[in-house]
Amino acid sequence: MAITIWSGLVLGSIYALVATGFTISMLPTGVFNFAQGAIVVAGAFLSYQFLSVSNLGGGLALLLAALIGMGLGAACELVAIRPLTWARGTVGDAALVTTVGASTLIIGLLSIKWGALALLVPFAGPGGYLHFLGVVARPVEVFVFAAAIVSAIAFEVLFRYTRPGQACLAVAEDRDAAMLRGVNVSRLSLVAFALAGAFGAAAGVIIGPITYALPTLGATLALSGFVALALGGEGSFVGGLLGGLVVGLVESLATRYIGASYGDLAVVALLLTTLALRPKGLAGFTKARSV
Amino acid sequence: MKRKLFALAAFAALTILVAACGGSSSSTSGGSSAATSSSSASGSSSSASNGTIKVLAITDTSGPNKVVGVPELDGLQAGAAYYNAHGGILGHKVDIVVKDDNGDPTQATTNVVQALGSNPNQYTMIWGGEEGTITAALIPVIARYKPFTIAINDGTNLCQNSSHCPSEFILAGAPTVPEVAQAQWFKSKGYKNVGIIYEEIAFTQTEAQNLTNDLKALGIKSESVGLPTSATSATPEMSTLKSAGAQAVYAAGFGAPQGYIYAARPELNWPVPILWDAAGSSVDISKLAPASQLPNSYETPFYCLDKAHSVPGLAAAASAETTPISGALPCSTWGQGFDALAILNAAAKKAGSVSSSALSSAMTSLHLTTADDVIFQPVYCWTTSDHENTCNAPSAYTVTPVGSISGGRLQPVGAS
Repeated sequence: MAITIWSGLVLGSIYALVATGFTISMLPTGVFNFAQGAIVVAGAFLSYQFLSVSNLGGGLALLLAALIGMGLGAACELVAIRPLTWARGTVGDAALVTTVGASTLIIGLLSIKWGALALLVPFAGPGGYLHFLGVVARPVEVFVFAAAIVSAIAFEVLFRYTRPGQACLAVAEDRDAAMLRGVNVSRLSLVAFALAGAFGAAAGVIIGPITYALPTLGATLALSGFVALALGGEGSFVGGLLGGLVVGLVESLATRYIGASYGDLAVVALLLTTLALRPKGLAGFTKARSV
Repeated sequence: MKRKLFALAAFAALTILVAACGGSSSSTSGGSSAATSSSSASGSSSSASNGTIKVLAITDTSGPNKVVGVPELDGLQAGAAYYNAHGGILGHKVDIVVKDDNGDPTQATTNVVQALGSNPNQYTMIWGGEEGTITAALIPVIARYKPFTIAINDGTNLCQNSSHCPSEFILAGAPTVPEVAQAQWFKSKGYKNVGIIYEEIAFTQTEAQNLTNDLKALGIKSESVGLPTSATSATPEMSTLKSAGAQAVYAAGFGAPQGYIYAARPELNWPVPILWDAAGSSVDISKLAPASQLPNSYETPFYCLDKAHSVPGLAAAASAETTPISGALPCSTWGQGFDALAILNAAAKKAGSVSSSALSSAMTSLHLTTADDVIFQPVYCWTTSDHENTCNAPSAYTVTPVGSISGGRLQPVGAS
């Protein structure tokens, strides 16, 4: 049981990291960037390239991957989102289509460069195994779990208690009002996507040793991250973390104790039940507004 | 206006890049084997009567199956170069014409119809798809135009009845043959309870079912669990097998799932022996897990290029197989493409002709071994009623410790 729970928590941490990236770009723009999963996968491939092929150090690999991820995120905003704003004045549902296109493009480029085979991504940290509470864990798994928690809390603090973060929340609540108050929403959108891209690529470096670098992983991560986000509540980093961990645990426990085919089914059932009973998600809440 | 132009330019750039990434369905003379002579890969359309015979290669060079499609094509082109350097096939030079199917059965069918519709006799041989799903889709079209065709496996085993495949011949034998060999291996090791973990795709599910039946026939108990294609960990599934008391594990997976299965063993503190399926054995497994996780694991490679020693010049050609994608694959996939040319050569010699009907007739009286330059499998034969390789027997599949690929050969590492 302990091993299954730990396996679920690690899996959930991966989903939570993807959900955090989604939230970073979603808060100031209201846009769900489907390409975020592809950027995470790009980070895994870049980690393989920098650590296995170029023999760079772990810190430098992380920094370079984050910089490239930042570029990818910014490119997504400029190519897939901004033109919609120009054309229609608002992004709307078309963003889902354009970001799917961006995801396809990124995955295609990754496949051209590194091929279709899974690549083993090294971990630039200690090897061996840790034994605790009946669990045998790899250090990278502990690192991923910790990274998911720390990043969710850090971004929650950043967005709630810093001026730029509060500007993002203002745009999320009322874009027009925020513009009237002098918030440059266009620049904020670009910065948010770039930051989400940097975080996503860095997350890819971290989770790569567990998931391997694999082009087909992009869609899986995007969908799982979306489920975590929907379960935890949109716009909440802590909610995304909770949602991710719950999804991972449910998937792992259902696979182990009901059947391998029931893992995904159990997650979908949980999602539908939660949204039916609590539409705002586990950590979401309904805001009151005076009229 | 400026914004509209920017939007249009961005959309155009995006479209062009997506199209480039999606690959082309038009005819190309692709392949990038370092060992291939360029003369065999032009796009010329000479007929046999002009001294050149054309081989149409329907394969994936840009889509999801290119991981096998490209090395198969490399093997075809290497075979063409080999025979062109040794007098050709019945004195005819061989020209490989490539049609990329992008891993799409519909595209493959369209390619064949377009190629054969105007002149069914322009190609001496068809390479009928890079894997079973494609080949199965082409069977009706091939049966309609009746070009001489060779393919790896037909997915649905239709060609076991030659009436479905009058001019098509399959390199693989009955689909259960590898699993018979694997079940016999488990029996020889004395295992009474075998766990089976399989990636939930059609091919590996079939392998798992075949093995279950073969183990049962040998009196060995088994428990099966499926690994979803979206899984990023196999620990829960392996935990199920551990709880079921499995003494050894048969793992049917391809790529990243193999790494997940390896990672699960130490996490469960369960150093159980793992035997990989035939599909999983077609990649360099040693690159999918740290060296410390590889001991006590085995694979079932096809007969490999060790046999190339008997064919002058082939060992060097195989060792030079260094294309970015296929460099990670063992010689078996490359060898399948090469063998198609070797079989064509043998059939042409037997028939004294390169016409489809003569070649097809000659195939049923062939019995090819490595003495006849074939390298992928040790023996090939077909019958009038069965156009799958009826000589493919469990003895063709050897279970060896997981190896690494070096110089085109499997080099064992980490024996148990």
